[in-house]
Amino acid sequence: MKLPSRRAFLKTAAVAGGAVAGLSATAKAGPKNVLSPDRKGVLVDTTVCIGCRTCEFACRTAHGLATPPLESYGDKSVFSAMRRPDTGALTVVNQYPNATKSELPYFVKVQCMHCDHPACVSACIVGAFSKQENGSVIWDTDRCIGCRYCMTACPFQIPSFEYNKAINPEIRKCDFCITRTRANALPACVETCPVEALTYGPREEVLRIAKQRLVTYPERYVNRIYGEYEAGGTGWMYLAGREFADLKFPKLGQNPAPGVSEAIQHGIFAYFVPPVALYAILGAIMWMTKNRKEGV
Amino acid sequence: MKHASLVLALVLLCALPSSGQDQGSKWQKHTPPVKMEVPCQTCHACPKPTKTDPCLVKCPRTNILPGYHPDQMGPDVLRMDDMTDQYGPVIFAHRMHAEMSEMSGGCYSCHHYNSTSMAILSCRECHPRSRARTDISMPDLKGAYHRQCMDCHRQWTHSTDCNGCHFKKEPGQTDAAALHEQEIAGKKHPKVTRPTRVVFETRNEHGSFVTFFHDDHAARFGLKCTDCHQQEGCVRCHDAAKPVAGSTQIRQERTQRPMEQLHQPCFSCHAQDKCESCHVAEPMKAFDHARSAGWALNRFHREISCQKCHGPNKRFTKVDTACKTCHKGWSPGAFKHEVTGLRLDANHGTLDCESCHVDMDFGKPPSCAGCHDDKSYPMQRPGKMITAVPGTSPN
Repeated sequence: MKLPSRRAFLKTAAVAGGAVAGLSATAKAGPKNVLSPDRKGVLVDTTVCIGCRTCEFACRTAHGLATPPLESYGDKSVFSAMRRPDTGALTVVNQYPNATKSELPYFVKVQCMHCDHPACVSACIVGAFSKQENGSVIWDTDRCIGCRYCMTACPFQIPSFEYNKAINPEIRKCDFCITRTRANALPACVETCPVEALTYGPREEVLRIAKQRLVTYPERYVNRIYGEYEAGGTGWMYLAGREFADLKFPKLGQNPAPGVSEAIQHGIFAYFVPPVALYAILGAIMWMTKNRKEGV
Repeated sequence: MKHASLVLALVLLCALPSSGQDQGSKWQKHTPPVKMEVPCQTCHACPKPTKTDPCLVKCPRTNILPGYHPDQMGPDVLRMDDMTDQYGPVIFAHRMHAEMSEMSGGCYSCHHYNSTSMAILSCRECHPRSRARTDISMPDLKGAYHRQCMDCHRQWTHSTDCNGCHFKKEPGQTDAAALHEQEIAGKKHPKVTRPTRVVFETRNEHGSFVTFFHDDHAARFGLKCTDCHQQEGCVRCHDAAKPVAGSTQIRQERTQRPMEQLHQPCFSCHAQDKCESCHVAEPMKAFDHARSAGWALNRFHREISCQKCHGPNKRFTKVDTACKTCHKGWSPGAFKHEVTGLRLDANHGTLDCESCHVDMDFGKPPSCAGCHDDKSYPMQRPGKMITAVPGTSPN
């Protein structure tokens, strides 16, 4: 069989490219997250949290992760180092000093923020991640190929990866207790919290309550709700008695986190013009070079 | 007191209906227009509330009650078994906590919402039992209980251990909670002992030491504990890691409070004083009227309050030491010499005061020289001592 000449291939490619570019004008937007107005949220009041870490125990139990007995969670020595969620603990509590009342330090529970516009969903190249109608950002382990793009995309550095497993390592993060909430149960941490530092409900309602607390107790809080606008808004929101930067909350703009990565990724292939243009330039250079050779 | 009960009666008459879990009979009605102790907006969100639409504010955190009953009238011990799940009931020494709360906000610090009726609402009357609920504007009962308890308990125990309050449910076990309930029933909080002297070591340029005589201030100025101690944290007295407050040993601690807060109790009276009147190089000695005022108090004067002579102003000014300055209604005929501790004998009882008290100066010792050449006071006395006068022997 006679192979098509290089020139013929390039010609075909250029035509095909044009055709794809025309098609992509309609397909470009892709599946967009339609945020349900009923999506759930949680308000974490860090001034109420007492640092008992019962939520850590409840989370591990609910997700079938290995856990020491509940009594051992009273150990305060873990607070000496800053901790992050990992594959063995999907939520952790950290302690920060309280300047005005040293005997009452602040505690900050860390877990997936369940963004309204999740960067992990955007970054996942196999579409394993998804934002659910009830607000949970979850992922499908069967689809995951372990590329860990979600880890680098997340502005809160939440997804973790089972590095120590050679076979079938998994990505893990807080799933907002999707199996429990689908069965009309509360997320495990919300249910167990002895002081109800975690208020669970529709995001709009939770936000309204947070605003009300800022009005009622202006001396108790810094006048800001972290997560109201951060990274385009998050499902989990926080109130605090000192600046969020001091509590190691990342400083984020109000734009959704996927904005940057998507702009680059989509920009490269926008209407297929950049790749076609690149090939066209390369082709032109080849053409001219060839003509010059023939002229010699 | 009369005024207070009048206000109470007025407020009772116009008691507000209120928001809670139900709008039942526990709320008394009030008929506008009446003068309330709290502004209307505290309870009503709209300017013109009606019976059909009272537009009530949910749980306004304002102390509407003009007063609470004395702590002895509250329940003694409460068994909290509303939501026993993993843990058993909590036996709460209500009265003892009420006694302790005197200096940290009182009953209001827990009973933070009440209607204007006399009913003191318990936690469970407003806070819902279920965590999964539509109205999430206030914490559920479990959250409300723990929020009240844990801020103090974790401060003084330095722990969030459940077993400090909860009895763990163990089938087949004796009811440990019931035993504990019997054990603490009727117990009272030990009497709070007051410090005599508190020395502050400061970094003031005028002098390092400020000496505060607690008893002098409390007793002599007739102050109640709550006049100064209004928002004390539990850890002021209770800290598992420190020696028990009120023990006789000397406690030394670093204060964490900012300067304004530390000076605030003093400034209510000492605002006009210069720094160096309190900040001195050495800890001060206890107040001595003879040394500071140049006039020693006798045993009678020592017993009376400062205000009797110096008037009601908190800043005391010099008082003329002549007896008549205070003893205005005094007349020689009505005077019984026995009150001085010396009953005059028959010979001396008829004499004029001036015969012994030269120039009617009762501050000086009496003189016998006007009549006797061989007698002098106090070697000889014109009668019989009936009580001991300090520095003399009763005979």
